[in-house]
Amino acid sequence: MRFFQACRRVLSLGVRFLHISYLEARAEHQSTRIGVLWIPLQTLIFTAMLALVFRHAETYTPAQFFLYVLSGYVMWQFIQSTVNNSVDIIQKKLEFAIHNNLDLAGIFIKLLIDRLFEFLINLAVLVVAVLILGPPSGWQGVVLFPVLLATMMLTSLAVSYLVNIVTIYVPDFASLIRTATRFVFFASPIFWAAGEQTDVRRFLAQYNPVAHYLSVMRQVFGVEPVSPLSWMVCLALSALLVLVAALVFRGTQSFVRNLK
Amino acid sequence: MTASIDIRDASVSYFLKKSGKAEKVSERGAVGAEIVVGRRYYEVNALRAVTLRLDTGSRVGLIGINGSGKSTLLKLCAGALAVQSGSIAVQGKISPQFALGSGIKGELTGRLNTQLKCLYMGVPQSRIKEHVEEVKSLSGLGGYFELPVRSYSAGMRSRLVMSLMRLVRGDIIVMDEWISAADASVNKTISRLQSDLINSASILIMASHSQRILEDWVDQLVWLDQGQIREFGPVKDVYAAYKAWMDKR
Repeated sequence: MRFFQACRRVLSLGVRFLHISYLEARAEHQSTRIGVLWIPLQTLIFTAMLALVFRHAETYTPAQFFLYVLSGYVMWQFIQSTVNNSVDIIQKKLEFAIHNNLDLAGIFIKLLIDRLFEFLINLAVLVVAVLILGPPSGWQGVVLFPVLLATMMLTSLAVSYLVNIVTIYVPDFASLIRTATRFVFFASPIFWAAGEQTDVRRFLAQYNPVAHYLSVMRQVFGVEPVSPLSWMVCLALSALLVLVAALVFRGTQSFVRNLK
Repeated sequence: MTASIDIRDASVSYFLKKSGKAEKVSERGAVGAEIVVGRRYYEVNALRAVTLRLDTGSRVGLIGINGSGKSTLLKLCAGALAVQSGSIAVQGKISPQFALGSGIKGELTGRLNTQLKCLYMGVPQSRIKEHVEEVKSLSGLGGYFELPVRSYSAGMRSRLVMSLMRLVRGDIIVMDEWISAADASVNKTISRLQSDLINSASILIMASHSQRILEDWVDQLVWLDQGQIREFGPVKDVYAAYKAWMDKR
């Protein structure tokens, strides 16, 4: 009974914060004619451009490659926003949060839900695209969606706190991070295929952790066949990040509030 | 609703990344807390061994010269700062207002800010619409309620903020010196909002330099000097002692 009550409370909070994210996103796009619809539209336009320019005629059909790029790009946007938008949360947003009934952990959770809101909108586009074009590797991966979502949420929360803490202690990292994410965008198999046989790309697909997160996303939506190895890498890496972030949070949560 | 703030022997420091010449930083001025030059940070000892207990019904004002620790004490109560030693225990939901407009977004309309505040403060979804209309009516902003807050005057902003605080309130209201922007003599609406706000709070703790505002709003004063409580008692007594000390300085 208590478990269900706790679930209900968490669900209710989630809905409340998604409502906040919606209102804020709507306000952000209030001067435009189509409002928040720009979120999926931008994703579609950019994906179409990438799919057109970097098309792999010999290994994918146009529809398959579009799905490949779209699924990767939707996941990449979530990763990119986790990293790029976490450089100055405590420094710039804590006071706003305190005025709105949120504590230090609360502001990170609120920003996670903002990211999830955009992710879910883009996910809807992906689902529609998969339904229309058909999943190249079947639907069996869909059952792993709850695992993917839980892993993404926990990892995003952990990475967000770690990025913020590193930028507090090493401010130069904030400038470096945008360049680094731009590099990782090109170094990850978003618009190039992981199976390519050039040495550098094969190396990147194997050892760049982002490649594994992109892969599990594609597996869930049937763009790639399910691979236990990718899941194991992602789950192990996420568990490590969450553990480190929890320890860092415990050790720094008091001090960082007083750091000006 | 029972609310309380229990601060025991609390010391709070700010830390700033070291830059410039350390010997210049450690020079003492007429105001502000002591700055300790550490290995990587400058440490500002803003509060030192403060003990204070406030229970339901407390209406407490903070006075002291610039840098005496008033804002630090308010931020500590609100959870924006942590103690380096000692402890703080707060019971009840806190509604802080450190500066006029903190916690609201200037680019959003009064209506949207109100909707967001309701959501943040846990107002049931079914009652948000009703609350928004009540804030509109309480604030008396009329058509301005539909405009971005950045277009408001200080008085309009204080109307919105006070209406929000009155309606979507916590048990403990923590306010910094911005309240002078909403001087009670300005008009009856703000005066009514002020008294509604005070009556609705279980605990009120506010900082101000204005004797009249303090006399209107609170019944006890904490006089802070160099991060320590110098006196705590009825407004008239503590303010008289503070004024005498200020005249002698």
